[in-house]
Amino acid sequence: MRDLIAAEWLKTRSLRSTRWTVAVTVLLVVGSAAVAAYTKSPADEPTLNDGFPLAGVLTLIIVATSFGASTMIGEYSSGLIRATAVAVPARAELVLAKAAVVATLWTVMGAVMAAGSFTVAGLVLGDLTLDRPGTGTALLAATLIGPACALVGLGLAVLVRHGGAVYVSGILLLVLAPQLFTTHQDLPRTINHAMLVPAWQRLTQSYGSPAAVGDIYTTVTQAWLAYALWPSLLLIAALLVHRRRDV
Amino acid sequence: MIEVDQLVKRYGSTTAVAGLSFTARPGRVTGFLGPNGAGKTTTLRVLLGLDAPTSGSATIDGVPFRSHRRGLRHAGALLDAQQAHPGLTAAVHLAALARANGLPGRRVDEVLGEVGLTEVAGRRVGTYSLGMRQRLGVATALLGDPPVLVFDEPVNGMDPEGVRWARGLFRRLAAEGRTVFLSSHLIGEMAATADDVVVVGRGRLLAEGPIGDLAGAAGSLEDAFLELTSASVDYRAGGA
Repeated sequence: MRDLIAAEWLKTRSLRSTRWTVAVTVLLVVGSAAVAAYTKSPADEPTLNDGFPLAGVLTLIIVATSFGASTMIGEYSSGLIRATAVAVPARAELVLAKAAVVATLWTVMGAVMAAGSFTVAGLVLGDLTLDRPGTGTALLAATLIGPACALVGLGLAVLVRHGGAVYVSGILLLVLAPQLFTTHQDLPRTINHAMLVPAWQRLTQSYGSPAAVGDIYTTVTQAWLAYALWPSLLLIAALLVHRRRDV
Repeated sequence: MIEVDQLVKRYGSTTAVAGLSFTARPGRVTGFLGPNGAGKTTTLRVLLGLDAPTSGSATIDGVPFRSHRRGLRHAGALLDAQQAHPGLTAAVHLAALARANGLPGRRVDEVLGEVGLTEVAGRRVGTYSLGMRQRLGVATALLGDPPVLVFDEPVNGMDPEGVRWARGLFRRLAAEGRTVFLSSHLIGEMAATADDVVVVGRGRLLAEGPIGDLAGAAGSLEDAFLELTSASVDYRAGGA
C-alpha cells in the first residue's frame, strides 16, 4: 500500500496542473482574506470570521472538489485506467491510495491557507489572537474543509465517471444546494444543517452556544459530523461500486 | 499460459462473447483473429480483469487476473495506445507503474531502451505520435518482466521500421519461453509473426491451431480467414 501511495503521489506531483492549482488556490484564498480585511468598515469590531471570508472558502471548495475528482477523471478520460487496472488489480487499494494522496495534500494546503488567512486578517485589522475561544476550532475547520471536499470530489468521480457531470454535480451538491434549503422551516433546516458549507460557517464564523447564535446555525457536533460523513459516505459508495464495475 | 473456458460476456442485451474456449501456450506467439465486433477486445478485457465475465472463466497461469493485488509481474498488456496521461512524461508514467508494483527503478530505463524511447522519455505523452504511444504501451507491458504478454493491435500506427521491430520483439519474447498473445486485423503481419492462431467470429471460436495447418488447407492465411469468418461479418461494403 505504501508503494501504491508513493506511485499516486508521483503522478499527482508530476502534473504541471497540480503546481498551478496549489499556487493559485493558496493565493486566492489568502488574498480573499486580505481583501475582506481591507474593505471592512473601521467602525466594526474585528471578529473571528474576518479571517475566513465566504468568497475564499467557496473558491477553495470548488477547486478542491474538482481536484479530487480529476485524479480519477484523468484516469478515465486518458485511458490510463486500463494500464492502472492491469498494474493494480486490487481496485479498492487504488481508490484508497488516491484518497490518501488527495487528503494529505489538501490538509497541508488547508493548514497553510487557514494560518495564512488568519495571520493576514490579523495583521490588517489587529486584535485577532489565538486565545479567543473558538479560534482553534475555526482554524481546524478551515484546514479540513479542503480535504473533505477533495474526497467528496474523488468519490463522485468514481461514481459518475464523466468529467463535466462530476464537476457540475460537485458544485451543485456542495455550493448551491445549501442555498436551496431555508433555515426558517424544520425539514429544509435539517437538510441545510447536514451540508458542508453551513458546517464550515458554524465552525469558523460564529461564537457561542446555539442559543446565542440562533438556529440558523447547526451545532458544533453536527457540523463536525457533516465534515466526517460527507467524504466517508461517498468514499464507501465509490469503493463498493468500483470493486464490481467494468472499467 | 492463457486459458479461456466457456467464456460468456454480455453487456445488457448485447452478447459480446458467447461461450469461447481456447488456450495460448508458453514459448509461442498466438495470433487472435476475427472481424470487427467478434469479441476480441472484450475477451482481452476479461482476461486482464478489466471486465468481469458473465459466466465461464479466463485465466492466466491458472489464476483469474483479478485475484492478484499487483499485476505487472504476472502479465503485461497493451490494450490501447491511449493508456497514459497526456500530461505526464513517459518516464514518470512508467516510474509510477513500477513503483506501484514494487519494481526497481532501473526497469524503467531498461524498457525505455528496449522500445527505443530513451531520447524522448522526458517529453509529455500528449506530444507523442500514435507509433510512439504504441511503443510506450509495449514498454508498459514489458515493465514487470512477465511470463504472459497480451497485445491488442500493437502495430497499429507504427511505421514499417516499427512493424518489423515489433515482429522481432514478439518472436524473441516467445523464444524466451513467454506466452505472447497478439490480436490484429493485419493478416499478413500475423502470418509473419504467429505460431498458432485463434480465430473468432460473433463471440465464438471458429478455428484454433498451428498457423500452417490453417493456412495450408485454404492456400493462404487470408483465404482461410475470409472463408472461416464469411458467416460472421457484421459490416460489409457493397450491400452484400
